[in-house]
Amino acid sequence: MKPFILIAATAISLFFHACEQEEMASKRFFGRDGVWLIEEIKTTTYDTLGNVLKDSSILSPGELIFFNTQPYKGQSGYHQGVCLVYSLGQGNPLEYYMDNYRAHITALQPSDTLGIGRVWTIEENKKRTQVWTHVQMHPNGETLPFSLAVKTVLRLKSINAF
Amino acid sequence: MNIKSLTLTATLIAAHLWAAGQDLAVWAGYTIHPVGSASFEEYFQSYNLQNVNTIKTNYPDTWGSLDGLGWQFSYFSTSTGFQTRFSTGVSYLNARREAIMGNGDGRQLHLHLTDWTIDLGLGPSTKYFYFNVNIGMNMRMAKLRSAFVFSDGSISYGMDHWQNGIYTAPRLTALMGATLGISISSNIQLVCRADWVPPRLIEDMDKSAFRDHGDFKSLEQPTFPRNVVTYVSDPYNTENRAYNDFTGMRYTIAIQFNTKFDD
Repeated sequence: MKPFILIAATAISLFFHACEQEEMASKRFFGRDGVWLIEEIKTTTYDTLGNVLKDSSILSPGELIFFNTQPYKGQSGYHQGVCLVYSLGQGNPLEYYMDNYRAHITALQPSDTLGIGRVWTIEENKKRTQVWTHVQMHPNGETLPFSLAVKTVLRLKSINAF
Repeated sequence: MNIKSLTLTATLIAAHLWAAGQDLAVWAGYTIHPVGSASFEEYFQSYNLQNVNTIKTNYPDTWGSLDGLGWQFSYFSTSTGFQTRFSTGVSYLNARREAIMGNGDGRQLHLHLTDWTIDLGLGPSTKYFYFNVNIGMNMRMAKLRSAFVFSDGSISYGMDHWQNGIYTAPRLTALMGATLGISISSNIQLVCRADWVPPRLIEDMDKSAFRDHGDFKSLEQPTFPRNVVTYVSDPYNTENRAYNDFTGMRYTIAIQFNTKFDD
């Protein structure tokens, strides 16, 4: 009967592992240092009818470096990182906070040249690639209909994938 | 009684049964859970009402049924045709509901319930079947993902809309139910189980409110609204919150494997 028990225990472990995969995703950023190439920042602007007014793309403008730091703000739990901007040859310190669905990048100093300081929705969450999206609505207040005004897509590629 | 003392009690009972050389069983199964929720019935109705002029596809009036997979682990002993069974298990249930506007944009709610149960079952047992009446505890963690979905497929949990976010709400309740196991072979059984998840044991409503933890909504209310019409007119009303008040019958069908330690 021991093999049977071992098989059952293994099956339960694998089941747990599968269920925990989603929660493990955010540890890619929190658990270790990581360097991510910003492959592309794509911005699309729409009119109120959904027509594309402007479409622009910036390729490989810099890097995001996330440090395996203890959150120094205590309660709010932000970690530290750096945004490298190739064109300026400078690194802007930042703070970041993430769960498996959102990434909050903030406090870029002295400037947010690439415009990454915002709350992103994590659309693709893989070990070597990340796709983050940020949208802005046309300002209709709290009354509908809402409509998409600006969509920004940030594509990241891990340089030192673990 | 808190969850830690419950866990300790459960561990002690399990250790006792293990030491006594009782039988072991594990199952994997499919669960369906039709739920009622006063909070979300009000939310759905108020959202449809607030957007009556622009909405194309309304939210449904209720969540309806959630479904998903789960497992259970149990020790049991049988003596003179009477079975005593101690069980613990987890079910992962989810459902998705959408409202769509005339311009193709919409709002999407994705609800996940993780139910962890600890219960004691008593009842008759023969070579061909067993039947248990179960009573125990159910720890339910609810996660609500609320997103705005644009007609181009973009999805946003961000701060572009006040309802966006990832909200969680725990809840501890009693659990009552019954289990029927039908033998397929000496070590395999087909199990049907029905449980009633009653209203909460903990009366502190604040602990069961859907709350967006983390620092993503620093300028907004961190709780999910119960009434959208009320929110729009009074966004700082802290009483206008949705709760983890899901209740109803939960049905499981599973394949169970069992063995003995002492054979």
